[in-house]
Amino acid sequence: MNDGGDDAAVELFEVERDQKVWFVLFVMLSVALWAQWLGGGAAREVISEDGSGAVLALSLLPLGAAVLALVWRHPALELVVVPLSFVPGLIFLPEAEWARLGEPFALMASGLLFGMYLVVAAGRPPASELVGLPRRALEEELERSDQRSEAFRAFVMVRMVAMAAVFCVITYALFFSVPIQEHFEALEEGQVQHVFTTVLLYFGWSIVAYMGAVLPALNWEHDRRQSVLTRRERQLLASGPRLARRVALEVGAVVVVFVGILWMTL
Amino acid sequence: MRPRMYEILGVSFFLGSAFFFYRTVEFLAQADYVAGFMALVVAFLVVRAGVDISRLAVALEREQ
Repeated sequence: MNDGGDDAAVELFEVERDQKVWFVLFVMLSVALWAQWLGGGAAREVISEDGSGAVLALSLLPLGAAVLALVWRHPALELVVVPLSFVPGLIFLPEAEWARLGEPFALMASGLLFGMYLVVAAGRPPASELVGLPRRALEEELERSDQRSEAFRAFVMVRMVAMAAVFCVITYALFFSVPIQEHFEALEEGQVQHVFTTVLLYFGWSIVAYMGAVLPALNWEHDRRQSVLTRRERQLLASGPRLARRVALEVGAVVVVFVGILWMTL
Repeated sequence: MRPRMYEILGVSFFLGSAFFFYRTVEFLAQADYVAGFMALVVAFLVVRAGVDISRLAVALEREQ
């Protein structure tokens, strides 16, 4: 007789459990990403006798940004501010650290960690307050949005193609444009500068791709994510292992292509 | 018609950001960091504008 109340209680329990798992994953990946990119540089600043406090503070900036993201619970903080907060620290990273980051395994680890971070940051569970919304209304909204799935797919596909085109332009500029290669070769530390520019540009492209293609895919009809997912997508989301495999395959494919390009050209 | 125009404009902004990314690489290859980061910021802003124009297109389409 009290099925509705039981369902809400179960849903609340599941959401709270997901929130805890998300919190742990977010903290782990933020710290791992920081350790991978800036940890070595920060340790050098601490150990070195002529280390700079300002550079050390810039290195610690991402950790502060991650704490702010956890406190204020805003997607822009998790997905834009935290990734961008790495840039000042990367600018002042010692050359030896850049050389370490330029090694294939380190590049692969960086790509993998950053991909996982974006996936986790984008998948924050809904707030507990949203639990218990009228299911009937949700189902009706789902039904209506299913009728628009063709338009939805076209909207996202067009943006994905545009983002792929931007990726090709960046890759061309980084590795195949003759005048730009000559500029790099003319520099004293051309190789380090090349790695720095490559990481920065692909990093920037990841953020742009998220803003331009992934975010619209997740937030179709803006802020009404739950109600716009088609039945197939809901089934996919419900099947954790299948979704995890798909995400792992996609991230893995991106990392392999990325490392392959660097391997061939650097 | 208006939503379609906004849609095309939004995608054009996305594609247009490629120019600024290219210029960013060019500036950084010459170790001109200030110009490089300014070009990168412009690229982000162009994409941001494209996203907002696309949102407008979606809102107009829903309104109709």
